[in-house]
Amino acid sequence: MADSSKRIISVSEHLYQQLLRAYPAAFRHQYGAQMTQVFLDCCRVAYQQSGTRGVLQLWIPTLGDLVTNAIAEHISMLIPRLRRHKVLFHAPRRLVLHRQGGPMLHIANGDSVGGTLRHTGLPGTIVTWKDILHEGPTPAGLSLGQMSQLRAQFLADCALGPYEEVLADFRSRDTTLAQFAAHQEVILWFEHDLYDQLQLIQLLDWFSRQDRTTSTISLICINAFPGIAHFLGLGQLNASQLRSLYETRRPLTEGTFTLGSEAWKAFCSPDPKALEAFLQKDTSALPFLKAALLRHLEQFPALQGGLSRTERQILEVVASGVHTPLEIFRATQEQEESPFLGDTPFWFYLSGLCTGRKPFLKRTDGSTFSLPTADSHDPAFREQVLALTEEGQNALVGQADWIKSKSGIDRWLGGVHLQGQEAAWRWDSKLATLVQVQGAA
Amino acid sequence: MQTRQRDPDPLLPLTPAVFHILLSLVDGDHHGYGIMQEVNGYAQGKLRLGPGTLYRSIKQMLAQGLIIEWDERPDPALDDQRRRYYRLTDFGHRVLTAETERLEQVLQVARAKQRGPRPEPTTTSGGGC
Repeated sequence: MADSSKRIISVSEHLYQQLLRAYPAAFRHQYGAQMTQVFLDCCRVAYQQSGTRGVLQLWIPTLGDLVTNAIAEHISMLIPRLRRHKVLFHAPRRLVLHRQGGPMLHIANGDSVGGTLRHTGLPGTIVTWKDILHEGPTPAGLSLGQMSQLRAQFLADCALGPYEEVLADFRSRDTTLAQFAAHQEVILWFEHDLYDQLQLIQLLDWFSRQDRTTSTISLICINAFPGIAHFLGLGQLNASQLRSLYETRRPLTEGTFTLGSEAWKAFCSPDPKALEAFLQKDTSALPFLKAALLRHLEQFPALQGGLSRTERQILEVVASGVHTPLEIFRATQEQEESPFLGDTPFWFYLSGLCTGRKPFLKRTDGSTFSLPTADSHDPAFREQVLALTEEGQNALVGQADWIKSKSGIDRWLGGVHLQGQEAAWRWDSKLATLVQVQGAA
Repeated sequence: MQTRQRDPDPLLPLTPAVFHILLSLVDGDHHGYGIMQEVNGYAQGKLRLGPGTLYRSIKQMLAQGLIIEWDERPDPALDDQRRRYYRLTDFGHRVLTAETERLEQVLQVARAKQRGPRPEPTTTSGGGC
């Protein structure tokens, strides 16, 4: 009985796995194992209820389910292509693009670029990769799904969106990414700053573990654009300018995937020296990566004063006579070689300096600093006037330490969790290196 | 990253499979076979959810943000690590509520029509093509 049960179920499993080939490869790759598992569960129950006859009867609806859904899935994948053909029929310029590029997946660095890409006439699916990876935890050893869950929790904790909606957004993004093999080409659209470079190496690490034989992965990554004197990012470009970059894309080599993966692992390592060791390598295949990661290291508490570079810049700007939140934001951005920090995380830095046992900033009217409720143009937020406290003034001349003033630190920088009365690692700006602090937890 | 409340209406009406999958997840997270059992339990054989229909619907629902994959398991020690669990999102809840309200309205119309007097058959004379 047990043997015959095993045999009929094992044969059914084998046959079902073979029949799953009727589905498109991307769908099969994503759901084939789970579908087989569910089918096996059904087989076992059918056998318990009616023996071999029950399993054979199960095959009748299963075959119907398989045929109708395989056809439907093929059609659902064909529809976007057919739509493209319809558009291309009236647009010879786009037809050339289609022949050259085939079905594409565009991965862009945010909604702004994603939105402009839709007006370029380039065919394909667009997915945006929007996560402020320079803030909050990115511990080592997590799958993309686990990382998305952790990041969604962090972003929700920062009031950047309801947890489940941020997670659903990430999951939808990850699902599109997992189906990349359905596209002939994947194009990564990124720029040079820390925000983008971290997203890029997270993607390169993920792609380094995928079977990339059916798709070309290409990169567009720039730090300047002709005619734009002060280039900040791809978001400045209009559709025509963005479209012109398409021809400059270059297919990524195995070496670049390996380099990106090594960079991501070093960034996620609990030991920040891994990142310094990585920076000793030749990173020229990703020409903007080294400067970006060095900027990340400058976010570690400084050896003198315990402030990150962003925090120190805020104090310097306020000391120079800039006092309202938006002005402080603009002035600190001008101090960056490659601005990377959006306004929303910036307000948290500002708020952090205004709170604690001995804050470094205060509102001149004595009230508590308020974060913007809906948007940063809210007058109640933008009209707040900030000044240095005595402790803040002392910090600028090396007479006060931010971590001591706050009575400790609890902050993630990539995979490094600085926690306790003292930060385990501080940044020595003179020697441009991290220093391990003796006696830290 | 600030998210706005999405409008459920563009997704309505739902397919029977999507509606029942949403319903099966109201009381808690389930893996694929768990969803199938739940639906088969209360649909009493009226809706047969095969693996293909189930996972094509799940793929669509993930893309629409109605459900999310959930790594936490009710009892990891007793569970197969290969199984993936699914959880209803807030948006999924709102879509399910909107679809239920839509079906209630349809049901009211259908009941009202059945209760009302049936029109007498009319006899016609003459006429022609």
